[in-house]
Amino acid sequence: MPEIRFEAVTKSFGDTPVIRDFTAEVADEEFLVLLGPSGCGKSTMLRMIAGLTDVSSGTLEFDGVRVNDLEPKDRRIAFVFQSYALYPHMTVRANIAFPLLMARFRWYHHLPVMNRIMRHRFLKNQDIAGRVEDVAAMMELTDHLDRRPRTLSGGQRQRVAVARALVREPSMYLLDEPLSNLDAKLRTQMRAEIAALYQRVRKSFVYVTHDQVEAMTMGTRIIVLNDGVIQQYGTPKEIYDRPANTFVAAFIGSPPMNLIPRDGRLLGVRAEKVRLTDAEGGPRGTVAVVEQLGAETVVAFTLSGAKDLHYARMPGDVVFAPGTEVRVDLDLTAASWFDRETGRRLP
Amino acid sequence: MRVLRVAAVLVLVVVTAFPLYWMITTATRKDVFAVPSWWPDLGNLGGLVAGLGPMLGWLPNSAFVAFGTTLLSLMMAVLAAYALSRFRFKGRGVFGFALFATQMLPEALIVVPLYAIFLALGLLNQLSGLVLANTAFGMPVAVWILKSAMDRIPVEIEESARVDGCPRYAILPQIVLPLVMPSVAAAAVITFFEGWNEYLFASTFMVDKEKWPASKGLASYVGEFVTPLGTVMSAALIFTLPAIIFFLLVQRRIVSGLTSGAVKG
Repeated sequence: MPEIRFEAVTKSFGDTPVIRDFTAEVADEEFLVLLGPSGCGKSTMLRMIAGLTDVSSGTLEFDGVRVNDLEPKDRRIAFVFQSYALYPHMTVRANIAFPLLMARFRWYHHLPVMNRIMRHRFLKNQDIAGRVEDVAAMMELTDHLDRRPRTLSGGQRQRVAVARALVREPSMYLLDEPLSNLDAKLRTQMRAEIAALYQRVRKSFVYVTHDQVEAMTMGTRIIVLNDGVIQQYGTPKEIYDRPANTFVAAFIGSPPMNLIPRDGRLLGVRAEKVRLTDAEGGPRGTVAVVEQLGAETVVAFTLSGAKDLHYARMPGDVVFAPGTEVRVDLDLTAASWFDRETGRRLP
Repeated sequence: MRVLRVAAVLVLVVVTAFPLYWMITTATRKDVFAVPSWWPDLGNLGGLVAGLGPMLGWLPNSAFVAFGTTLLSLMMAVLAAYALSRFRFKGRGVFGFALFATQMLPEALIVVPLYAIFLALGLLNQLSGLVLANTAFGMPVAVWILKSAMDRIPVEIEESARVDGCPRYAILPQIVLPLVMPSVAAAAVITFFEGWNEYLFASTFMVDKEKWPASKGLASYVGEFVTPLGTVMSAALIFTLPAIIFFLLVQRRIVSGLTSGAVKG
């Protein structure tokens, strides 16, 4: 439903600017990833979309309606926190049902004794109980509904947090590094689950992460942020193939893009476009480190006369001993060029 | 190791329980000037009850003062602690510090100016006046206990509640309060005893004998020439019982670890 429009959004804490002149338009039902190193302002941006943090200046619009001053609950959003932020004193059932209860509570239902009675009653309510159980079944939590969060594992808590977001059927899901507290294997699994969730509900997602693998695999649009400034906005492929500046080039991709000084400019070549051979002649380099990853081998090398490390992605059966002198061939189709001073991409 | 631990615990139990035990035996003794006996004189239980008549009239006064102090202190302390813990405002540090100011002066120093104020406000000889005076001394402690408990609750939980549609005024009772219940119980115990034990204000402000709290009543048994030790001890026993019962009721709630599981780890 909502198309998000940022117009010159800025945010400062005191005199410290955190977000500068953030302008972008995101179409409906996109999976937008805010990607950047820690401290770049991506979480602050997400909190502004949620309404948990004020916008210092500029306009934030959902579907052409200015939402700057709207309370979080009036924005039809769901927020999944990095720390899950479950309510420890409530069962999983009550946690998931909480947004539904709040939607029905009148002010007098919050009075001390009244709220116990009403909570109990609403939890029994056919409609609410049914929705809670549907969502719980979807997130495979049915067996844990009457447990407290502290007795659950990290992955289960994460599922409860997502279930609590799902149950109110929001028009936008905001996720703040939801996977960073999970171990590597669980992270891969939850990544697939969130991607599947997106396919199923087809709502707008805004996902904050510093992990470029998450961004590349899940996002349909990526905004790369650094120091509160948008570095690039595009599809994962655009960002990978045509980085807008040297920051994006070095930040996206593992290994990062090779930046090689040439003719007064910087030549950007992806590691898979570099071929190392033990043939004679041509540009020379020296192998520094060899990382064998099974399916492929990543070779770090230096070019003769320079100290910077560059990377080549080679098939898994390639073996070089560190210190070997090699011939370096670069495939320059679709290579990028950057200005040496500003770091900007040259057309 | 285990033997040592049990022995150490036994020693502590004896040290703490002996005064109570001695209170009981003394309360049942007929002749307080005879050589003290180790065992309570069960034949003299009547003596324990005797002379307690006025005490029974004073206990409700004490209960009113103690419960009043607890309720008033907790209501104010919860709100003040939440503000101190969550809101950033000018003078926050000064306010937090000023709360301690009441703890730095001995009550005896304040009793005269307070008397003058109470006289002007017509609060002398009023149990509600005692509640106010005791609250002034009990509440700051409660505020700091509750503030440090609230500081430990992750802010994300409250933000999550806001996103889930919980109105601002309901976050405190619905989310924060249940999580700091152990500390509320601890603060309740402290403020309750502040009101129950208080003697100085009670003895200065309360004039009418039927309005005395039990602490002052208890002291009135001690005369200039005669101190009926048996009666004093049995009155003291009665005086401690309700407080012990209150403590036992509340202490079950003083368990920690309620917040675990809210966030990672």
